[in-house]
Amino acid sequence: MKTVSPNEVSQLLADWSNGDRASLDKLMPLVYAELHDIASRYMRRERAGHTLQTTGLVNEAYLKLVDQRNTRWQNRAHFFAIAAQIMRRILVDHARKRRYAKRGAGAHQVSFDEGALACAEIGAELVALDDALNSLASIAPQQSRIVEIRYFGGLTVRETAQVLGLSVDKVKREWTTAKAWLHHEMSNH
Amino acid sequence: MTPERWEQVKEVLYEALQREPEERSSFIARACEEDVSLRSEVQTLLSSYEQAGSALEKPPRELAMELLAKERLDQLIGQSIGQYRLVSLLGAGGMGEVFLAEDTRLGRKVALKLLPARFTQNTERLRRFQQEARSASALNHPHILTIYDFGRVGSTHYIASEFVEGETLRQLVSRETLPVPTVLEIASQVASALNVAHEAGIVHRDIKPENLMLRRDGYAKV
Repeated sequence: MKTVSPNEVSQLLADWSNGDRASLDKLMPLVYAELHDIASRYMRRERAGHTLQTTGLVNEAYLKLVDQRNTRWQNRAHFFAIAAQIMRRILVDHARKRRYAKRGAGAHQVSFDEGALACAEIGAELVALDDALNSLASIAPQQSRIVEIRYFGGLTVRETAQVLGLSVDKVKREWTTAKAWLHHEMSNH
Repeated sequence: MTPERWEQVKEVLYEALQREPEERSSFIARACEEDVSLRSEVQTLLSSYEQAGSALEKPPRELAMELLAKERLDQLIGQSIGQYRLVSLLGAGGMGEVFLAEDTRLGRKVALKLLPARFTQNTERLRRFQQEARSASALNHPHILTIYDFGRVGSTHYIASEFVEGETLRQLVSRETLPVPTVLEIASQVASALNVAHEAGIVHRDIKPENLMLRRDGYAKV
């Protein structure tokens, strides 16, 4: 794969913040590839007793890809938003595929691990959450984004406030009420 | 719900949640005044909130990590490493990933293990590993996996060995309880393999159910 300099990544982030949609298309695969790389490295190490949180993963990708000296915090927010989006997509796609496979013709083999992937309950919940988040986005896009970043990006309330440039109180308020709304939406569908 | 309505509901709901649980309902009644539908909407969401508990507090982090890691490996399928074309992922562990691959020169199936970079960057470790692979390849025993090849393409180090069509002992015992005679049979096959290895001065150091392959006919391979 062609390597991109941290400077270029910073530029792409800045362009995207300024409304250039095309730069997101260029950023997405870069962030994706980096997350893949770090995750697979950690999965191997994890068996030797190391674990990595999603936040750590995203941070590591950020430090590696982006030139921090030339990047404003708004752009950092955009980076975390991309990562959260990727996490969401990867989890939900997997959950949907599993559900599909379960409804489809019988035995499909899960060979990679016997642990988390086998947990069907998480899968059904993820699909319902994804649908609920989409409906929330239609009435409160920012709130939906806050949930995405908190839940899929693994950020705390404080970190979310920081990357989105909002007050901690605002994030707390949006997060708390979103939980009520999402739970209602998910249990009624 | 319209965006404006949701703003209204959110306002009252959040205020209510700042109060003690027993005061919440009366607060909502006061705050909504005459607006009965607002009151019932907030009340419904309040009970949803109370039911939700810690539902969204624990993100599926490990799952996300596993999926990310697996996706990267899946991208390798179909690619070639030297004369080997990767067919499918057989397993992944601390020592790297093992793929079912096709040796395009000889037209046979092999198990291709790709060594992790952190492992191969350590020259001393790599040298020792190569040494062991060399000695192990000299062993000729029906219960020892035959090593075909050990090499490097670019920065990727690999080991090609005999492909055993079957499953690991771990997979087998997690599915069923084995009768004692079967257990003894497997143990004695493994012991005879280790005996031959020890005589050649090779210590396995990682014997466990995950590392023992069983052919469908019950034949064990270390």
